[in-house]
Amino acid sequence: MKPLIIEETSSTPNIFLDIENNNFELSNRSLPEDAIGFYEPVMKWLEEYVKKPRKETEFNFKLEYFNTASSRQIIQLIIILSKIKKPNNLKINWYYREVDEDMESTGIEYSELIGVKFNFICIP
Amino acid sequence: MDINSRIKYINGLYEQFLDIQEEGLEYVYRGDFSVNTIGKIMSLAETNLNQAEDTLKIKSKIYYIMGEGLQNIARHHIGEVEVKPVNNSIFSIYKKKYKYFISTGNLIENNNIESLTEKLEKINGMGKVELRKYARQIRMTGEFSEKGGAGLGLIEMAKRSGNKLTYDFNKIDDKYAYFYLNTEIPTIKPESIKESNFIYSLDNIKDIHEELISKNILLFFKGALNQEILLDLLSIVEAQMDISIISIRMYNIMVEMLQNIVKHADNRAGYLKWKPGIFFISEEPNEVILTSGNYIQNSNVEELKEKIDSVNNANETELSKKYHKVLMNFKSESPLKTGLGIIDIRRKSANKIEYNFQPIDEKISFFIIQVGIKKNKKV
Repeated sequence: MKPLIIEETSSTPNIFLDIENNNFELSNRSLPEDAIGFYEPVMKWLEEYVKKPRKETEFNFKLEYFNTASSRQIIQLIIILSKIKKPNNLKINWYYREVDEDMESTGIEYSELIGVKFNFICIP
Repeated sequence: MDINSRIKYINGLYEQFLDIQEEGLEYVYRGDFSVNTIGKIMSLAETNLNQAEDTLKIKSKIYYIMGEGLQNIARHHIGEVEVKPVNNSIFSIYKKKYKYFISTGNLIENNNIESLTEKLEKINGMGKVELRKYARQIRMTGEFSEKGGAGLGLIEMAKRSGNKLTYDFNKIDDKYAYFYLNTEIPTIKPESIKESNFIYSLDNIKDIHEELISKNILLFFKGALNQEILLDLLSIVEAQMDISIISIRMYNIMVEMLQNIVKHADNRAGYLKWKPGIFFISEEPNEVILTSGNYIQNSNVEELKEKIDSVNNANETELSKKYHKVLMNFKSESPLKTGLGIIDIRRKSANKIEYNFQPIDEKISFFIIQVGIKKNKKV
C-alpha cells in the first residue's frame, strides 16, 4: 500500500501513514469545517491496512487540539485500528502537553471507551 | 458585570445588528494591537471586506486607509507601559448608505493633543491638490516626528478618502487621553438611490469603546463569520494567549461556539458565504467569560433550548454518559442533531451554560450563549 500523506493546514492535521517505515502519525490540530469529508480517505486507508497489518504497528496521536466534530472521526479511526489482533501488535501513543490535562483525560476516556490500551507520553 | 446585565448588554447589541443588516457590514475589534497582531487584524478585516459587493478600487482604498489607521494605533503605543494601552484600542469598519466609515480609538499622551490637533486642522483645511503637494513635500524633506510618522498617514487617509477627517479626544487623567479618528469613504451608489446625508457620529465608536472598557471585554468581534474568518480570529486570540489550561479551554470553547455559528446559524439576509455573528471575551476575577450571538430560525429554538437545559441539569456522571453516547453514535451524521459541542462546552467549562433567545419576528430569533471558564477549576 502506498503511504498516505496529508500536509497540515491551519485547520487540518498533519497525517502520515507509512507502512514501510512503521510511521503512523496524526499531529497538530484538527478543526475542519467538514470533519467527515476530511477523514474519509484516512478511514478508507486504515480499513484497508488493518486487513493485512504489519507485525508491529505503532500509531502516534500528537494532537494539540481537535474540535468535537473531529473527535467523532478520531474515535472511529481508533476503533478501526483496534481491529488489529494478536499475533500482530498494536501500540497507540497518545501525546499531550504537560499543561493540557484535558488532552490527557480525553485520551484516558477514549482508551476506556474503546477498550484499547494507550501509552501516554507527556511533552514538557 | 453579572450574567443578567451581560445578557441585557448583548441584547442591545443585536438591535444595532439589525440596523446594519440591510447593507451587511460592520466589523468592530478590540483586543491586542501589537505589530504582530496587525497583520492578522488586516486579514480578518480583508476577509470581511471581501464579502461586500464593492469594486476592487474602492476595496483597495479601504484596505489602505484601514492599514494606516491600524499602524497609527500600533506605532503610537510603543514605549507606553504603565497602562497597558495596547489592549485598550478599538478599530471598526462600518458601512451604511453606500458609505464606509473607518474609525479608530487609541490612547495617547495628553501632551500630544495640541500637535495632533494642529496637524489634523492643517490637513482638513486643504483641498485635493494641496494635500498631494503637502504629502510630496513631507516625503522630500523627511520631516518626521519622533514617533516615526510625519502625519503622512493622516494626509494619505484624507487624500484617498476625499473627505475631512473627524476626530475627538477624551481625557482619562492628567497624563492620557483617547484619540478617536474617523474617515468616511464613499462608494458607488445606484442612481435610483437618493444621496443620503447620513453622518457617522464619532459618538458611536466612543460609546462602544466605553462599554467595552467598562465591561472588561478583552476581545470583541462583531461582523461576518465563516470558517476563514474564524481561523483569523483564532490566530489573533492565540497570539495573545499564554500557555495554560485556562487558555487551552478558552480556545476549545471558542472554536465550538464559533463553528456553531458558521455551521448552524441563520444567515438571515440569505448571504451564502458568511453568517452575521458577535463574539467577545470578558474577564471577571474568577472567570473568563465567552459570549456569542447569532440568528436562529424560530423553528429550531425549542429543540436547542431542551438540549442546553438537559446538559445544564445533568451531573458529572450523567454528562459523561451523554458524551460517550453521542461520541460513539456514528449513525447520526448531522452534528447539529448530536449536540456534542454543547456537552463538550459544559464539561470543559465546569459551568452551566447561560443562554437567551430574543424573538425578532415570526421567523427569526437572536440566540445568545455564554460560558464562564473558572480560573481555579481542578479536574
